[in-house]
Amino acid sequence: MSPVIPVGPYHPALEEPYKIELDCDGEAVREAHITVGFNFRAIEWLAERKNYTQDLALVERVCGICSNVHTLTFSRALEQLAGVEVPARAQHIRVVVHEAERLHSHLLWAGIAAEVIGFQTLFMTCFALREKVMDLLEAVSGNRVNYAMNKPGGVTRDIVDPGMVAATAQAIRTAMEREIIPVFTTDRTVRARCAGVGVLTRDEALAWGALGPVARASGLPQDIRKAAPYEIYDRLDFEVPVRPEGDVLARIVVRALEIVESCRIIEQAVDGMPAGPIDAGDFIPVPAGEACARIEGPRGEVFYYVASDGSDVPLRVRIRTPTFQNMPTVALMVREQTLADVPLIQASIDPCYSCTDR
Amino acid sequence: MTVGRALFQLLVFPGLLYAVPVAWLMLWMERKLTARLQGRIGPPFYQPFFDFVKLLAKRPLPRPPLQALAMSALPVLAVAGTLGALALLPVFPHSGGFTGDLVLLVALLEIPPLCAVLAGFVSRSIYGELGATREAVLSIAYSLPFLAALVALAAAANSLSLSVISQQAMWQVRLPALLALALCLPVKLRVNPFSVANAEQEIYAGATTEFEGPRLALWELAHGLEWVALTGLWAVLAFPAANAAWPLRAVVFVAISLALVLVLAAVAAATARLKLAQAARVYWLWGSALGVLAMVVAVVWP
Amino acid sequence: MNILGLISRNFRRDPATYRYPERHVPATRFRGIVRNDTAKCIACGICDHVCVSGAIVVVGHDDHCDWSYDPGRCTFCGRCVDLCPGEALSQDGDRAPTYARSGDLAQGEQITYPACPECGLPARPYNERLLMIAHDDISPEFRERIKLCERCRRRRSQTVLTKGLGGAADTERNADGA
Repeated sequence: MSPVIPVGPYHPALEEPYKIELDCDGEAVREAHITVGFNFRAIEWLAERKNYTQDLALVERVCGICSNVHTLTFSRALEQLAGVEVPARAQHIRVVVHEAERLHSHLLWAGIAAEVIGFQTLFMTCFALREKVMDLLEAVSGNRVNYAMNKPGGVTRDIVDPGMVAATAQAIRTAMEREIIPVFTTDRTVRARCAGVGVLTRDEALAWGALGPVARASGLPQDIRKAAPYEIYDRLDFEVPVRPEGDVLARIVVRALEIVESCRIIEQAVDGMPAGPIDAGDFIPVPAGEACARIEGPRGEVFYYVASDGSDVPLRVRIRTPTFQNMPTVALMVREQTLADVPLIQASIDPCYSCTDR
Repeated sequence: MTVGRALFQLLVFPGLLYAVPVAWLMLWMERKLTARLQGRIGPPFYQPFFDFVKLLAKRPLPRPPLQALAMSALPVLAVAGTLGALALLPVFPHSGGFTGDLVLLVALLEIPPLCAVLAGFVSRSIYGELGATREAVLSIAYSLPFLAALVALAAAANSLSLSVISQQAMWQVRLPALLALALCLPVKLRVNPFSVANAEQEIYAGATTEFEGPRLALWELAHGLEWVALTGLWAVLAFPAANAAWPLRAVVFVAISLALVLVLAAVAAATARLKLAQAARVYWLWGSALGVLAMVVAVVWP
Repeated sequence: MNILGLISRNFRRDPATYRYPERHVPATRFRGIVRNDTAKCIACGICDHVCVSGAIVVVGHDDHCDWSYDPGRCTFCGRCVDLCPGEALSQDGDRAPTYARSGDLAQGEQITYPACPECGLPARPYNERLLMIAHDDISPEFRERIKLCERCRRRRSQTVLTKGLGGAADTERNADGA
């Protein structure tokens, strides 16, 4: 048998093009090499050539799944530069959309995880539930994928029916607790595929700089929402689920519990939503200077750096996405595992290579 | 068995004329039930037939002559082997069969997996090779319980003739043997939880990855015929009533086959795919236990 | 609920999928294709300025303005609609129809500049809503002046101004101009 097995750049288990080359010994993986860069779209370069309003729609397209995170971080960086205060109602709306996005991202990921272990039924169940979240986002923002909700100084749309949002969040929480979490944690074939597979220990996660749910599944309790609260997170009551095992099952459980927590956050944010304006004006002038912003995206910390010379076009926009940090751990985790586990392990970090390549 | 009788069994029932439409029907039933269990609409009943026609209409890729020959011959062989196995099924026990047809049946049923293994290697694709390797490893694993069950039945009936076996094997032997055979069905038909050899998310389509157009259509047909043959074998062994009239026998045979398809589809919908080592372990452990149990009962029972 | 409960529930329920061409009905505030109400459009070009994908292109000419929009390029971010000063732009509440070729849904609108009542040359279009925002109270004299082209408006202002100053400068300028 040929010693190197290519997985990708186009492969049924991969959502996006990238490549893992596996040095195999029969079905056992000895070494893995990851190649990225198939999705390079020069977004940072483009951002330096378009005005701030255009950049908002541009950075939204860094990622097809966590689009809202990018506009939110970018807006926060611009607000820092301009010294603009975001109205309270807008902050609540931002948190609702932000958490709804985490919901649909995690549900999508749970579906993909089920799909790569050949569990089509669970995949369909996760995606059917995700469809509810998508409908919620469509009702709130008018769009299904790129919501275009954030702008510097506020949000573009108001939530007109808060009761519906809270009811949907509650329905998702119930479905999650009753249907999906029990199957993922108790089903024997799922356990056989996920427990003890692709272990990343706490020390490895720390040394390799893992972020988000990957770090939290390895026992590192790090979350920007708690560590450096933004918007209204310091006033919300929620838990950050952490598991010590570090295997694929732990990552599944962490994300599943995060879905439940996100539903709780949405319910709280909608509940305490004050009346008032939803933005601080149509155009926010951005003075010269530089600013950094970071928030907790579905996959981990998203970081933006924006430099401005006072014109309506930024000097520099730098985007660092969580997959950039998490990606190298895959090579570590697939070592000495079987070939059949590679799709699952690479999926377990919830990779987003279009984010990484930008 | 007369020539006319043999031709009827090969070409009409349970051979070609019956098996091909039923193969498509079974493929559709499997897809439709899976879809319904997943909350989807699922395809219309003519979909497998349309898939077949569409694949047939595609132009095959130009390949080196020897490879092209091998890649065309292997699926044809698989189809022919399965049809032969189907013709041997003693749906009407008094009117056909010969001593030793059990051995021929076992040999013919082994042809499609063997062809698949060869196809995987001959297609010169890394994924084809991986699929072929997995297919080979699995066929070693499931052959033990599969053959043990059949041998136990033969020993119980004290005959190598299928029609005699289907009539005379004792229930004490028949039950564990049927269970062992049922356990072998998902892996032979490559459905969950043992769809290891064609694990899409790992190795694309496995052995048939490089096949296209008419060649793939033949593989699909062979796969459908395998469904008919294997569920048919199980149905024949599960319904021994010798005195039943022939229309009743035919109806019960079809009914059991289709019911088995539904059960297999439901099991597939409710499980994840196991890994190669895990799947092989199930057969070495549980499959062999059932097979050996059947054998022991067949030998020890007075 | 275990997996058996899940699949038996799915089996009892109606399927969640649709058969083509049936479609999911979008939410009430869906962001669909952008439409331009030419009666309200003042051809300011802000939509062009904020459009990241170049779906909206506004090209000004001497006597009219070409506003073109290609939904195939549109990102449906709605910034043009939010920022349109005259509220001329709006978004459809339904999904765009299926189309086969790029540019099939492209629309082009022509915003003709109204003729100046005084000199007959094209004047800038105006929008009642914008006027109301800028001026709470609109005098008939002001309403008449807004219809003029830029040149005539300037001249009218000058006339009013010079009249106030007392005629001398007015005659002087007229003599110069002649």
